[in-house]
Formats: sequence, C-alpha cells, structure tokens
Amino acid sequence: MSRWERFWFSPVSVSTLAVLRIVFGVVMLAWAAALAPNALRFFSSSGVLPHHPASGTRWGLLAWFGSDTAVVGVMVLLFVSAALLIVGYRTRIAAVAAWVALISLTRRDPFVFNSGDALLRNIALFLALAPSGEALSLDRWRRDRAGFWGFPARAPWAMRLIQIQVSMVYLFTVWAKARGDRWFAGTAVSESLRVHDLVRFPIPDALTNSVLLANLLTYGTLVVELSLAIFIWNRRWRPWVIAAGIALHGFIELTFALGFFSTVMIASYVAFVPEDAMEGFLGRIRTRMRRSRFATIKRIAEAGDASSTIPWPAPAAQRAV
Amino acid sequence: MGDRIQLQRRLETSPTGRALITGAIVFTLAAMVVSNLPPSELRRTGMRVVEPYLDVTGLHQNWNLFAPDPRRATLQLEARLLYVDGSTAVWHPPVGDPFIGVYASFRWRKWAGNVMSSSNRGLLAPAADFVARTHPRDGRLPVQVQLFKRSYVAPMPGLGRPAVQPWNDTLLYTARYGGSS
Repeated sequence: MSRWERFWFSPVSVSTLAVLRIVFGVVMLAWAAALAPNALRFFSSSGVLPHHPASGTRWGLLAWFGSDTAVVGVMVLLFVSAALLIVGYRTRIAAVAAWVALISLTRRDPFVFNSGDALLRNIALFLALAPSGEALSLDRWRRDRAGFWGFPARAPWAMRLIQIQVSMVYLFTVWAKARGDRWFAGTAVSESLRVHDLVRFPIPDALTNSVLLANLLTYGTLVVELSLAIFIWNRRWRPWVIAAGIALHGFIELTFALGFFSTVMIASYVAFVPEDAMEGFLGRIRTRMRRSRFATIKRIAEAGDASSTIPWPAPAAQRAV
Repeated sequence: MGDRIQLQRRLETSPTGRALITGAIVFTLAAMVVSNLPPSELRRTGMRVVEPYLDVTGLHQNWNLFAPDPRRATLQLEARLLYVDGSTAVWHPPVGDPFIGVYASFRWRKWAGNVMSSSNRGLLAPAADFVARTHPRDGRLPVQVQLFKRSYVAPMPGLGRPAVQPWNDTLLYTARYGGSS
C-alpha cells in the first residue's frame, strides 16, 4: 500500500471522529443560540440587508426563499440538525442539513460573519462526508446495541480533509501576515489590543504600551501559528503545539470579541487526537458512567457488557425492580 | 442508514471507488490552495477553474484575520436621526456584555465595520433604512438619518501615550424620508 493510500484509506478507529461530531454539534448549537436573537435583523427583508447579495452560482435556501418564515425555518433547521449531530440520530442527514443551514445563513448576509464561521461551515461539510454516526450515536444504538461502545475502523479520508483544513488555516494566516509589516515589526498584537471596539475589556495602557510585551505576544503568535501548521502532523510534537494553540486561542478568547473563532479553532484540535488515545479516554468515561447514580447513564455504559441483560429503555416491569 | 454506510464502505474499498475519491480529494485540495493564494495571475487563472466547485461546496478560504496588518483605528458607527418635530436621536449598533452578550453583539460590530468600509458603499442605504424603520417616534418615522463613521487611531505602543484619543467624525451618508408612519 502506497503512502498516499495509507494516509487516506488505511482504516482507523472512528472514536476520534465520533467525539469530533459531538463537539461540533455542541458548538453549532451555541453558535445558533447566539445568532438567533438577531436572525431576522440580519437575514430578513426588513433587516439590515433586505436583499440576498448577487449570488451567481452561490446557492442557499435564503437565496431561493426570502420570507421571514424561511429565515426562522433555516434557524430551526440548524438547531435541530446540531442537536441530532450531538446524539447521532440520522447523522448523515443531520450533518448535511447543518451544512446547508450554515451555507444559507453565511451567504444571505456575509457581512456579519468571520473566519471562525467559515471554518465551522467547512467542517460541517467534511463531517457530512465522513461516517460520523458510526460510533457513540443513536444510529449505532438502533443498529447494534451490543456494539455501542465499539469503534469500527473506517477509511479516514474525510477526517484527513478536516485536519488539512485546520493546518491550512494556520499556514495561510502566517503567509498573509508575512505580506504586511506590523507582524514582523513585532507590534501587531499590542496595536490590536489598543483598538477598543475589538477587545472584550479595555486593556490597561501600561500593558499595551510595553514594546517588550508587544514583541513577545506578536512573535509568539507567529511561532505558535506556524508550529500548528507544520508540527501538528508530528505525533511526538502534536501535544505540545496543541497545548500552545489552546493557550493562544485562550488568550484571544479572553481579550478579543471575535465570537466563535477561538471556540471553533480549539474544537477542531479534536480531529488530531490519536484514535487509541481517544479510545482510552472514552473507556475511562465509560467506567465512570458505570458508577453513575442515574440508571439511564448506567444502562448506556453497560451496553454490550456480557453481564448486561437490561434492554434500554427498560420495560416497565424491570424498571420497577 | 446501514445501506448508505455499506455503499460508502464498498466505494472506499474498491479500486474504482478509491480512484474516484482520490480524484475528488485532489481537486478539493487544489481548490482550497488556489482560494488561499494572494492576488496573482496564478490565483486568477486557478479560480476560473475551481470557482464553481467552491461555490457549490462553500469551501472558500479566507484566513486573513488581523492580516496582512491589523487595523489600528477604533471605529464606531453612529446614526443621527432627525424627526419632523425637530427632535433628534442617536443610535449605535448594540454592544453586549463582555461575558455572554458579546457572542451575539460582535456580529453587529462586524456589520458596522463593513458598512463603514469604502468597499461596501452599497450597505449604507439599507443601513439607514433599517435604523429609520426601527426608530419611529410617536408613530412617525424620522425625516432624516445620517450615518457617521467615528474613529480614532491609537498611538503606536512604546510612545507612552494613551490608546484612547478624541473621536473624528466623518459623514458617510444622508437619507431623507417623508416622515410618514
């Protein structure tokens, strides 16, 4: 088998993919909840942009249906599909529906979205192409209850596309920064911290006026971003660059008001967790669930155990026992 | 569900299926790389080929957050409304609390930034109309809405000067209405 074949098609456990699906379902739900209060103001004919921008071949539900009902319908579609992604019910359809809803919203008013939103939309497409519902899902439960905690091996090509997309984000953001001069001058981050409409809280002048701190933050950002683009592919270096990435995005999240950008970036790191490590992590969660006080959680944990004879949901007679 | 998974698995394990998926992967990666290139002849030529694919899939790439250079100006969109009785009002896009509300209100800031950008002049009239429609007084719409770009540029770090500076106001757009309800 060639290296190309191995990379794209050599089967790997779907444990990481299953957790990625759940994490992105949660992110999409929060994303939709934050957008919902302003949905009609941003996307309806009585809002800030009454007409869909000239779209050409850029399709979208809101390009075809412009009513307020359609806007509400797309938001409901996003809520429902995100919830179904979390539980893994009709997972493929849910992922496609989430992608369609995201593409429809981001095209209806592109002036209210940023890079984090674009990455969320792209990952939704790749999740729809992957066997995302193969494990830890209601789909699996309905098909093979005893195998609920099993993680079949599948060709990882769609997961690889997610990984490459994340790596590309960092590679091309560094390239874009290399075309300016403030990043190499070492002051870009502090200059941004002095832009008051961008920051979450006003940052004291004593901090943003320090050139030494400005240099550390700016060059540190470039080093971390370039490392994430390259060394995230090295299994030995991966934990370190991911930790650095979490620190970077944690700092961005605490200081800047950029919506879901950092959340989506950090969530995307799940795609790089090795499958064996993820299975170990899930095994520990299952052990804890077995000790749960709640019968339902216990039953889910015991699915597939030789000792477990209680079907779920349990018949009334057994529940009474 | 099971049939669809079987179909995908069959595709992934057959030589023909793998060749098809490989073709799709190669084209997808090429489209993503071309979409990421800086403005150039290579990008223009490549985009002619991959644009329809990017349009269908939504895989357009733009990761220029704070790049090539971050903006240095603090910006604020301000709408000044005049009513038929001579009274006035001022409107700013909503700003949420810094903990939870900011996840909703950052989109208003993004929108306002685009409205104030010289490359999006088409957003000015709809923005003024939106402000007028949503701010009637005594059942009547304003007779005039003016959109201002308020801005100041913070001095560079290291100069020891405070980041906050006096606002400069620039009139972007004036819309006049009949003042009817």
